[in-house]
This record gives sequence, structure tokens and C-alpha cells, in this order.
Amino acid sequence: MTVSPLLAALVCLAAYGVAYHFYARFLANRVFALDPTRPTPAVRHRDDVDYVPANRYVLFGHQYASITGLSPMLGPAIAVIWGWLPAMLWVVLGAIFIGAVHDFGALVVSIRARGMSLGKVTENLVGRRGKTLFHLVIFFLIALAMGVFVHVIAVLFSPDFYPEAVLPSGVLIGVAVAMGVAVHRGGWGIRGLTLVGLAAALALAFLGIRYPVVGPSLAQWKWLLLAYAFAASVLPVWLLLQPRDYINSLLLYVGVGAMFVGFAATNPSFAAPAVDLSPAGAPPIVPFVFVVIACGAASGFHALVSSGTSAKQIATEGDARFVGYGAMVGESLLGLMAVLACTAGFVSRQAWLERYESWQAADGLGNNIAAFVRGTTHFLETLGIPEAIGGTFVAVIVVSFALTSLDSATRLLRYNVSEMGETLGVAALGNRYLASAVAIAAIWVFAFIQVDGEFAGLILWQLFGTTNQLLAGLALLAVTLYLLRRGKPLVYTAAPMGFMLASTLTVMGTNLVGFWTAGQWLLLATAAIVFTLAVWLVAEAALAVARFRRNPVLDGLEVVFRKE
Amino acid sequence: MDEGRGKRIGERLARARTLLGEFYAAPYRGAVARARRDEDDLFMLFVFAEMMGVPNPAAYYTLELQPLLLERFHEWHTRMGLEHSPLDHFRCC
Repeated sequence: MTVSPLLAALVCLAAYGVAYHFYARFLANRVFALDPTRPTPAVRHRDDVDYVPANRYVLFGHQYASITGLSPMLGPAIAVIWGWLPAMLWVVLGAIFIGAVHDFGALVVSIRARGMSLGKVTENLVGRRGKTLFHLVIFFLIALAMGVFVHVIAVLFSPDFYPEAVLPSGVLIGVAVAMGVAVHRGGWGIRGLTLVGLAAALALAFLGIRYPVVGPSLAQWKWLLLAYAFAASVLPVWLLLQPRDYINSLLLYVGVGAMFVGFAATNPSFAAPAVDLSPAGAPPIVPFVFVVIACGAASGFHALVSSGTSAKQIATEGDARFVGYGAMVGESLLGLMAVLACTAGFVSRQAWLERYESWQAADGLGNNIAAFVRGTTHFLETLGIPEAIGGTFVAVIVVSFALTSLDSATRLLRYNVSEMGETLGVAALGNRYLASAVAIAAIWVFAFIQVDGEFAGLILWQLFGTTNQLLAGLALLAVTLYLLRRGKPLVYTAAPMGFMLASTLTVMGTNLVGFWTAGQWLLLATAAIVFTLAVWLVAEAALAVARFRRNPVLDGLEVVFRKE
Repeated sequence: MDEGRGKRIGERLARARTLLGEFYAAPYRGAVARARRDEDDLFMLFVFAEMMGVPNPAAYYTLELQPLLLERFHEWHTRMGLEHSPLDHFRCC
């Protein structure tokens, strides 16, 4: 029996709908006990700077755009080597029962804690060690992911892949800067600029095909990208980050919309098998699929967005389901599109096998992301967009996702470095240039790391996935402890936490043995640190629960979570 | 098209524009405001540096700005970690 991808996609969409309507509502009412009449931090602590009640659609748009990056495309693009079914199941079910619950929970706890960031909440719930743990996890998470992103962008820019995406990507940065200056200094309206920005982005695709940029080597591209990340980290946000994020979000909406319409119009069939449990050279599907696809199914990174900015701007608790759970469903949709593009976007089984012949063939991350670009381009062709234009357009979108993640994440890493400096008593790290330099150095390590003369892309990706799931476990721990204190049901957050920790520990254990046998010392050290952090987290969880059992009212908590 | 409908469409467009503007501004409002505040703090230092014994070549030129900034003086010195006015002849609180 053959399953039509369109049918499978419809089933998935229905599952999202049911989950949002019933499960998320159940969580909102029974578990988190949301009360739309309770004043949120945005209302109670309104200062029109950080705390501002925002429109729910604006907030959703921001949350969605911030959590969606390159990862929900890249993860599924790798994982479909095990067939389309496992990837699709994990993307959909993972998002429904773990990822979205995690984002939603982090948002709610942060709202109840005066909009504090997750790090602060953890400090209050788990203790000082919890905060240190949190900082370390974030440090590795960002450094690893950005090392991979730098590599992926450099590969995409290389002559073998999409040199025609270079010019549009570069000019888009220029357009963003011009836009930032126009709005900030010139007081220009947003409407005209939006049209100009979008038109420029589309027109640039043509220009890029005309003038592909070939020249810099892979290593040179990496250096250029690191320089860009450094600049983005120290420049004022209104000049680069703000307009770039804005244009990028619009591109995201246009792009994802067009991909789904194109997919429905194409009505393709699967070129990939439903399940292949032993593709050549691949690690065992369980638990590896759970860390290879992080974003799109569940991602700890989202807790940073939920708990930092969104929680301070939510106007009523009633909006939390839409913003927290809803945005994650939105991101999962992109993950689903990635699964579909990489399995049904190929013309034949033969074409698919050429890309996914073995784990090693899929090893080049550039190859994986190219599979995504190629698949979606195929869908767009049905809409009458020529392959060359569509391919460049998608490649530009992919690159600008990676670049916006790179610039904002480097800044986050810089803040992280400064905060760790504060904890350690190194005041110099408060300097933004020095902190940025440390951040870039950490990214540099992972952007250039090699195994047997090849870039260690896929291994780093697993390490990133593991760290990300570890952070998700940490956030879920904070949420569960909060619920424990409130006397609410725990299983809906505790079970996902257990699942995340179990898969993380298994993957790390397997990797440790592998690195040891192969003598990969740098990777071994990184993996050992991540493994230690995971064990540390399990210990903290046990200690926190034991502490609570002994003394149900903890001092630190009382201050934070005052009864209304 | 009757007038009521045209008006409704006009209202919707205006609302869409407001939302778009919010979508641009909201995520970075805090960061921009903080950066602006840091700049203002530096400016205050320029204006009041001489009074606190910090040699400032621009003092002569910034003197006439002092009365304009007095209202913000309290907020500034508390943010700089000084509970009371650091100036003997210049009681603030």
C-alpha cells in the first residue's frame, strides 16, 4: 500500500488542530490553571520599555519568528534517512506532547514569576547551582549550533551548491541596515519599507542568478561569517538585528505559505521508503532520531524566547496558549514541510537514493540542506516558478534564517559570557567587545573542528541536539517543580522531561564510547562536558524534589511565587 | 461600493499598519530603550562631570544645559549607584 504525502500531511494537520483545541486547552485549564482575569506582568509592571501589553497576533508573530530558524529544516533533512514515517511521527507527536508543552509551560511559569527569564526562575526553583548549570548548557548550545550554522552557510555559498544566493544574501543585509537607519533616524513609516524590503528580496533572486559569487574558499567564508557575527553582536540592535529580523519574518511567512500551497498543488508521491531501520552506516534510530530532530519537535532553546521577551509582553493569561503552544505548532509545521520536501520532493526513488544512499553520503550537512532546497523548489515549480529562480529564492531564505540565527545567537552568547563573568568575578567580561570576542572564539572552535580531515558536521549536530534537549529537560524540570509547588498534576511535564533526559543520556553514552575508541579528543571533551551536565541535571532534579518533600514551602520560592 | 464598506476597509488597513509597526518595534523596544538610556547617562556625565570634580574640557559649553537636565538628575544619580546627590552645593534628595 502506498500512502499519499498529501493525505499524510492532512492527517498531521488534523492532529495539530485536535491537539491545540483539546490538549492545549486541557493544559491551560487543568494543569496551568490559567486565569484571564489575573493581571500579567505586562499589565502590573508596565513600564513601556520591557513590560508592555502586546497584541496577541504581534506576540505570536514574534515568538514564531524567533523560535523558527534553520534547525527545523536541517534536523528533518538528516533524519529522513530512516524513512519518512519516523521523522514525521516524531515531528508531529514530539511537538504536540513535548515541544509545545515545554514552550507553553516555560511561558506560563515566567508569566507567574513576573516575567523573569528562565535562568532566574531556575535559580529560584533549583538553587544557585541550577543557574550555573543553565549558563553552561546555554554556552555549549549556542556555540555548537552556531559552529554548525557557520559551516552550513559557508557550504551553501560554495560553487557546488548555491553561489547565486551570495549576492542576494549580502544585499539583503545592506537593505536591512538602510531600513534600520530610515526607521530609527528618519522616522520613516513601516508600510513603504515593508514593500520595498520584500520587493528587494524577490528581485535580488534574479540578480543572484545573473551574478553568482565564486571566489572565497570554504575557510574564507567561515572567517567572513565570524566577522559578521562579531559586528552584529556589538552594533546597536536597531541598525541591523531589528530590521533584519523583520524582513526575515516576512520572508518566512511568504516562503512557508508558498511551499505548502506548492506541495498541495503538486500532490507528489513519496520517493523515500516509509521506514528504513538500518541505512548504511547510520546509528540506531532510537534514540538518535530524537536528537537529530530537535527544533521542529522539541527544543530547549525556545524556553529562552518564551521566558524572556514574550512573558513580559503578554496582555492576558488567556493568550498564553495561542502564543506558547500555537507558535510551536507553527514551527513544527515547518519541520513537517522539511520532512515532506526531503521525501516527496524528489522525482524518483533513484534520485532520493543518490542523496540518502548512506549516512556518510548524507554526512555533508550541505547535502542535507540542499535536499530541502531541492524538494521545496520542486513544489514551487508547480506554481509556475522556474527551478532556477525558486531554488535561489529558497536558498536565500535558508541562508537568511541561518544568518539571523547567527547574529542574534552571537549576541545571546555574548550576554551569557558577560553573566558568567559576573558570577566568576571577572568584571572585564562585561565589556561588549571582549565578551563578543570570547563568544566568537567559542563558535570558531566548532566551525573549524575536523574529524579525519572532514568537517565534523553531523557529530556536532548530534551534540547540539543533545544539548538542546538537555536544556528542554532543564526547563521542564523548572515547570514541573512549579506545578509540584502548586499541587497540580505533574505527569504532563514530568514524563516529557524523563523522555528527554533518557534519550540525551543514551545518545551521549553511545557517542562517548565512539569518540574514545576513535581517539577524537576535542569531541570527547565536549561530549564529556555535556554528559556531565546531563547527569548533574538529573541529580538536581532529584535533590529539588527531595528538598520539597522535606519542606513543602521553600523560602526562595515564597518570595517569587507569592499567592495573588 | 457603499460608503460604510469603504470605511471598514480603511479601518482594517489602518489596523494592519498599526500591527505591522508593532511587529517591527515590539521585540526590540526594551533593547533600544536601554541603549538610549545608556547614551543619556553618558550625556549627563558630560554635563555634570565638572561639578563632581572630574575634569571635563566641554564643561564651559555644557553649563547652560544643566538647568534643562535637573529634572532627570535624581533618576540618573540613583541609577549610577549614588543614593544621594554627590554634590555638596547641589541638594537633590
